Amino acid sequence: VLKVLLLLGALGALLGGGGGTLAARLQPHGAKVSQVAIALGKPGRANQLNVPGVGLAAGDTMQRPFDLKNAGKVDFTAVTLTTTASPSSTLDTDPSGGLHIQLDSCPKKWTQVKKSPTYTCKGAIASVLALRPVLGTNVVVPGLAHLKKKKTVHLLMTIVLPASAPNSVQGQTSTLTYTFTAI
Amino acid sequence: MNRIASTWHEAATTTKLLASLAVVAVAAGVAGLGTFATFTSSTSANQSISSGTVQIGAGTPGPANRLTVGASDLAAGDTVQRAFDLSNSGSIDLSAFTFSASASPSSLLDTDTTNGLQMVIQKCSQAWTESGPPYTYTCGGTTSSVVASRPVIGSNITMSNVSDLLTNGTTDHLLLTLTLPSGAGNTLQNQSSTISYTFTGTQRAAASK
Repeated sequence: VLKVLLLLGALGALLGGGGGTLAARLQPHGAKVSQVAIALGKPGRANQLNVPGVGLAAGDTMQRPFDLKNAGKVDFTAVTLTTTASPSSTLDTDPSGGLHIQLDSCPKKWTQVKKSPTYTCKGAIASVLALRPVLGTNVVVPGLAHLKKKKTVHLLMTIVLPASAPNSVQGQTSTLTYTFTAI
Repeated sequence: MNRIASTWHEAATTTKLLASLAVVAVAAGVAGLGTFATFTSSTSANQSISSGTVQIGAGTPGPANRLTVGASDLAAGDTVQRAFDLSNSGSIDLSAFTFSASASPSSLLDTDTTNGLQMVIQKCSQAWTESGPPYTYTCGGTTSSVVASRPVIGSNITMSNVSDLLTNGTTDHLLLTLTLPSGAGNTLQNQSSTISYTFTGTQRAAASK
């Protein structure tokens, strides 16, 4: 029992009084091994996420291709997506009749169909994130879980306003922020 | 003796377990701090999304909408003419326009499909020229048929020659003519109905934006 008490006492000193010291000690070590870095493609051909969608009707879809790169020195162990809205509207707060999001990947860059905001893949399309309501916090993106270091994945975000969208979703505007976090 | 020894043995085991748990706690604390402090990276993008509107409407009651004006003391063979504007003021184009009419309260005037009220809807290429009341109309432009003669009550009646209304920002000038047929018998005397007209616009087919 005495040994246990001594050990707990040492723990208290370490986590309580010496918390700052412990964190400081870990920093150089963490910086050395982590180098986790995730990066979206530069806005333009490699990232169309900032292209707005205007005048959506029920059943409409928006397709936006973008590249996502593991720019660090380690493979990812997980990637999450957090989507927030500000300003918000029923477009994002209605989980059934509001906007839904889906992610797919293509082994090559997505090809735009001529004179159309739609895209095709010259290869096998893989599901990255199944269709779900657009808002979410730390939603695990299964298809990006083990993205290798230095590798870029070509993604297509599809935003869907369901055909069942109620009239209350008419004439609404939301600005969405998509945040991808790699671990 | 054996029992006492056994008790001590158990006590000793318990101590080791506590010690092990404490060590695990330290490890978990360290791992937690490390992950939180350094092992993540984020990147984000903003996007504005807006939905459009499907909005159709009849004109403001007055010269642009006489549908609300009642008619009384109809005799067999009489007609009732009421002009009204119909507009597509939404931001989304439409794929179809339909028309429905129902009666509440109802009477033989609307339930007798042969000798009760019959309706016709016509369109004028410009605003109808009104005289009266009682209202009668002439068209200074060209007329076209929107709904051919039929019993007044019906659901989802197709409207012809209003394809221009499918595009948002357009207005059509329509004229509803009700007729109490000359063959209406005495059973149709002294009847009263209130008829509701409902126009329904359906949005265009879904598209990629």
